[in-house]
Amino acid sequence: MSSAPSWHSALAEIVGSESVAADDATLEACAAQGVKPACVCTPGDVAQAAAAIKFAAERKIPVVPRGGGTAQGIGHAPPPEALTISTRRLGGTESPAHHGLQHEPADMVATVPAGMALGALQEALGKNGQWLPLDGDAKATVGGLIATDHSGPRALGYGTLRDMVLGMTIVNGDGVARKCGGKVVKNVTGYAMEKLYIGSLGTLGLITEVTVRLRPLPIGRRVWRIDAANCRDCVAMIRAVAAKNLPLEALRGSTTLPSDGTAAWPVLVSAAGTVAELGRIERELGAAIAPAEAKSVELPEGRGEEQALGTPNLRFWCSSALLEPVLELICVAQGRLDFGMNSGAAAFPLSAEQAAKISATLVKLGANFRWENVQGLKIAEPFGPPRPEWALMRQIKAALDPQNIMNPGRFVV
Amino acid sequence: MPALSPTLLDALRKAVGADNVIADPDELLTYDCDGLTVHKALPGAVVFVHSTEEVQAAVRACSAAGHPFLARGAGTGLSGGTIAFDSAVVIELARMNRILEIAIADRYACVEAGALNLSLTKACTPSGYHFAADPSSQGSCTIGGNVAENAGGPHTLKYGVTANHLLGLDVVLPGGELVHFGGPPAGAPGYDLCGLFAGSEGTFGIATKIWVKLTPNPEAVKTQLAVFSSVDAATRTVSGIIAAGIIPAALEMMDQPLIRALEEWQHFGFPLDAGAVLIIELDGLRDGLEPLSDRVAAICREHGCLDLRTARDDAERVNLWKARKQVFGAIGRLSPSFYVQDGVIPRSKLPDLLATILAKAREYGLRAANVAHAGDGSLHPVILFDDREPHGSEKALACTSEIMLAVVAAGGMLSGEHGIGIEKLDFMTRVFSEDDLDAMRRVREVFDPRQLCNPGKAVPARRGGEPGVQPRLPFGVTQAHA
Repeated sequence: MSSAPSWHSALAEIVGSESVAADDATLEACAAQGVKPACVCTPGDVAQAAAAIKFAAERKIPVVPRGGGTAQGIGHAPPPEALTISTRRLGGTESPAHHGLQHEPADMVATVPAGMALGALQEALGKNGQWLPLDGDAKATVGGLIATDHSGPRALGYGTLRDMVLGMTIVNGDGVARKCGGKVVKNVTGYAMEKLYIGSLGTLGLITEVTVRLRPLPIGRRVWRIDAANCRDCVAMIRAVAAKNLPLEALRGSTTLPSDGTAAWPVLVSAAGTVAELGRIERELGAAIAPAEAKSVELPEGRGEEQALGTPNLRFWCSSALLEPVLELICVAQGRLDFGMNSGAAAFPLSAEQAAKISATLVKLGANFRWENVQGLKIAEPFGPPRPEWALMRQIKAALDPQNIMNPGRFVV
Repeated sequence: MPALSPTLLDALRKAVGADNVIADPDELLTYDCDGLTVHKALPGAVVFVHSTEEVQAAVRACSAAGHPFLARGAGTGLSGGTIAFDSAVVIELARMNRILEIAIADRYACVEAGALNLSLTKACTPSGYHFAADPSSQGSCTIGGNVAENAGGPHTLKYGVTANHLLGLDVVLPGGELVHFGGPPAGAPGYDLCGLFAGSEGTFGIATKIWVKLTPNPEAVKTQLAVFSSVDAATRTVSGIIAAGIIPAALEMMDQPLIRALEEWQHFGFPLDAGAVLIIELDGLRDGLEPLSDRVAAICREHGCLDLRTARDDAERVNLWKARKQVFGAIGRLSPSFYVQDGVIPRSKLPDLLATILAKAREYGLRAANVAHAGDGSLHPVILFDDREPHGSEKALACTSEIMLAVVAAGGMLSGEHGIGIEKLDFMTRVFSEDDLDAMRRVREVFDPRQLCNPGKAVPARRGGEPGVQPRLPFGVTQAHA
């Protein structure tokens, strides 16, 4: 039986005892990269979340925000003896169904509590024929997807979260709840603070609510598979298809789909539209890749590269000219791949030595990358070598989290 | 703040060459305001820069002297973002106008900050691409200015504003250091400083090199003019189109006063008896356009559309857009003075808000005209007044203030495209709490701890003031004399 931290009861008095837990089972369930928190707080509203963070700031207790727990392998390990603040009562699994969701179909906008899972959100939006055009784990929360700047294959067609998030409410590291952005689709009213929080890995505050722009559900959708024999052919196919500038949702190469034994490098092409548009796209695809063939395939809804790869260990971004060398570098290390023209993800069993070699080569090539889910490897620089602009980022963190309690040491700041 | 010191003037001349500095008050007059013409202030000097190194040198000279400075592109901004208070030094980027790289394979371009928006699109046209942000001023505005104001335009409805197309920036910080934010490639580790910089109105530093995404030109475009008897019918049609899940490339509205002004000015062929028109542009694959267009036509008819005309060829299409983009030029025919406002509301609130605007104008005995990027809920109400009449300006000011309050009450924001500048500083507390604003100020202080880089813009000073920053002019009136 682990002992609750000394500040457990003081925190319970502030946010309510029902909001604080320090039993073994809860701590174990909230462990990240093998590190268990000292205590878990589940605020039921923004005021409670702010009170908890203010309490932590006064005592300099590190705070680890937690959503669905699906992306805890990103970044350095969390600090020990931390207070984990879970959003599961902010629209999450412990909230009434769709509690706090404000969907305005006529505006094609929704304001979503941060703890709401992507799957639940899509289901609710779908009732009015709309969706948030993002692939991801159905259990991942909207707040968590934004904090990790999650992006899936359909970013090609719909952009990334930076293009979807219009505003949010966040409790910064000083325990103050703040709004930024708005609920309108075009906005130059003060600084775009929401951009700063997308992908900030919980280091600037706890996101409690977000407003996102939505899309109508596609009238129809088709996915085609093109079988390429090797890496070079696969990249060439992707280039040929991309050069057509068709309105595609996704264009991905991979080494992971169960193949029928004929090809190890399938290319998947996804498009949405009317029957006439999809027919046209199919003809154009055929012309782009002849004599190869594009076969229609069925894929599970919302399939992202995670499901294709299992748990990815490396994400990379590079110019199209570097795609082939980067893919080959990963193949040599027996990595499985999922990639588009300028980015990709890989999963492999690899040694610390191999990882270091891959990092060094990616740096040399000028690619951006991030290691994740590699806690056994003790990678010192999961985000690559330090960059000059990180100094500014550290100062921004100090401005919004003066006691440095929000996920300290987890990101590049 | 004292006038520009002779020592600083010398230092600036050394930094960029004496030929590239103007400090003569007569010559400086050209730079005493931007598109918000009522507020004027004479800069201490204007410095023409030709390279990032020159920007750094000029910034370092100002920084060493503790003297305020600001970047200026084409000066087309509409919220007073480049007005040089306190004899600030204007760093004029218009001569840094080169397009440095067009990388079609990776669909991006790299330009100097002073490159014109339209030059980039023209440079990419042979390859079949364009830069998506297309403000009305695109023929004269710079991409650096677009970044500073996070500029939009009609086609941002489908394609997004400047921030959605921004990949990377080279920025000279207010201390003179050069940093790089973002990509390409994407995925740069750390906070999205590039996204944060967009719309920061020149208060974080001076972007000198900009990497933007290029957007493929659509295969087919269909542009239509839908004629309605009233503004209400037109705006309900807009709401109907959006609610049906249709995202046109552009969906613009103009009301009767503007239609008439355009017709009187240049004969574009608009129906003079129309209460309002919509310009509806659909684009995409040829194969999908007709069915989509049929759906839009049905929604138009449902809302009492009187006439739906289709541009028959490129020339007609270009003409329609020319009319739309020159609308502000025509307004001078309607009234001795006018005030163009900018606000943005949830798009479903459009019919109610436009009715409110017209009612408010009537209350003040003024006329109002409306042009809107209607599909985005982005409004540009125009209040017509005569500043020669007693209290003419005051009435216009009071009326537009009430309109802004109605925008806020409808769940909208103070600016969709023009920015806060100095124009709307006093309104910021209507949409943000002191705590919200304080986070913005803290971030600003990280970039510019001494408040030298375009001080007094975008975010209001703390209550009680801040060292070195004087209280600014109140929410003011833009006048343009015919």
